[in-house]
Amino acid sequence: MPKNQKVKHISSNNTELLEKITSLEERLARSLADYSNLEKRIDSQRQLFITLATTSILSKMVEVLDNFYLAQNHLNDPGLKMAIDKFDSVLKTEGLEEINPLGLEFDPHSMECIETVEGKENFVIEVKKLGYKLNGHVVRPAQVSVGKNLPN
Amino acid sequence: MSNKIIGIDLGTTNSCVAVMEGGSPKVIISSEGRNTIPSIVEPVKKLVGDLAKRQMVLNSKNTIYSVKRLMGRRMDDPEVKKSQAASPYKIVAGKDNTACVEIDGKVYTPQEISAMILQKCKADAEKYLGEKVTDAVITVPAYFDDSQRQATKQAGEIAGLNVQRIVNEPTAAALAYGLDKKGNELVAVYDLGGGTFDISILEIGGGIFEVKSTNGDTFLGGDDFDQKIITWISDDFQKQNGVDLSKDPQALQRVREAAEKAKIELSSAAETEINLPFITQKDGQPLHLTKKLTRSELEKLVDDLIQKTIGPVEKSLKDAGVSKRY
Repeated sequence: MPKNQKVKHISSNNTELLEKITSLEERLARSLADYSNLEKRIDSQRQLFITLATTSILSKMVEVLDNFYLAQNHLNDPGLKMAIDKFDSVLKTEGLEEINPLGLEFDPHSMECIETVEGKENFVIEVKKLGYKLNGHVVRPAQVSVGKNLPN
Repeated sequence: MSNKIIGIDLGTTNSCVAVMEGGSPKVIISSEGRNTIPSIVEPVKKLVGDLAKRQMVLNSKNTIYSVKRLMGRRMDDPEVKKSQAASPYKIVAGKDNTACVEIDGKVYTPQEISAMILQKCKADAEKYLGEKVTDAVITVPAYFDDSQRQATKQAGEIAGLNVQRIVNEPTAAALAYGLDKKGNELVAVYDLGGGTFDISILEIGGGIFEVKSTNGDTFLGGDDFDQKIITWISDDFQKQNGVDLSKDPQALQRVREAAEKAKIELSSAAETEINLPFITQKDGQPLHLTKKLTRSELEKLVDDLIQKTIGPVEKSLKDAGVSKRY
């Protein structure tokens, strides 16, 4: 091949290669972005599953704990109180927060009204069961008696 | 961007939303973490589902449940009269004597109430999918007439949904079980739900679903089964301890939850134990409730309810021109 044809050939190869590099760089950048998004999604899904699993187990645990509170209401035993406090502190470590709305205004987001009694209209008069939150999300609403200005 | 279509079971007692994911249906979890949404609405405070249910006792005049019973019906319909007798909220005549509800002087159509449920279904689906949802398929009972189907479609539109199809509930059930892929089939769909019982006879062939007949009992469902167990437990406790548990709302609530749980357990176990420590007290002493319930005992308790379904089943078979075989 004559010299200037060779130069043209190399030059056009070069342009092709540069275009190919640009295209591959773009695709690489997109793939890396997709990969990063996928990682984030997997991580948030994993977090979601952990939260769901924990919520499920903790919900069951607090249902059982309810019975110990009922027992304590009747027995008033210092040993039982210690045992309940231990249970409570473990739940707290797992991120569980108590909802005790005694005297607060009724709010269906964190409470369930099971009866109305005479008392301050729309305020919680008695807490029948404590509620619980996990990471700010209500796992079990508190069960309460709400006041109504009932006629005598 | 392709929009996912959601499937909504707009039920009398509970509603459910699902979406197709990887070729199979996935039930969408509500923002309260449950896989069904109670069909309960408080339109003034704009509460829907579990939130509305939690304040029902406090606010019974303003909390609408089972609005599906009024959907597309007129005031003189016997179903509406039955609802009027049983509901703490006001049922009044709207345009053209259609059944509506009245709260704090404002009249709401069943479409508007149902739309609030559908709006929640849409919102929860959007949260789960992480994208906007605009299209939906909603199921209705096979016996729903044109005005009832139109009302359901309207409810979807009020909720901001493009209702692609209104599908018959028994048809959806048959599709879910792949019965359309089995050649020509005559299928009975026995749907005993939370509050209503529906029997439908379908003829399936060449991808076409023909509803041959429908029947049912609009005031018979799982809740009635729970009630049988609750009554059995309370009557026994009264006899043994002389205390009426129904007078204590907290005790009654515990019994109700335990009864439903026991009923569910007996689907897979032959017997279950109901244990409610410190259920109440008498003369300052705590009382505990322990009762064993076997599956055969449960079957005895609910036998008259099951028998109540036989009449409608026989009638629907007769209307479909099918002879029963025992």
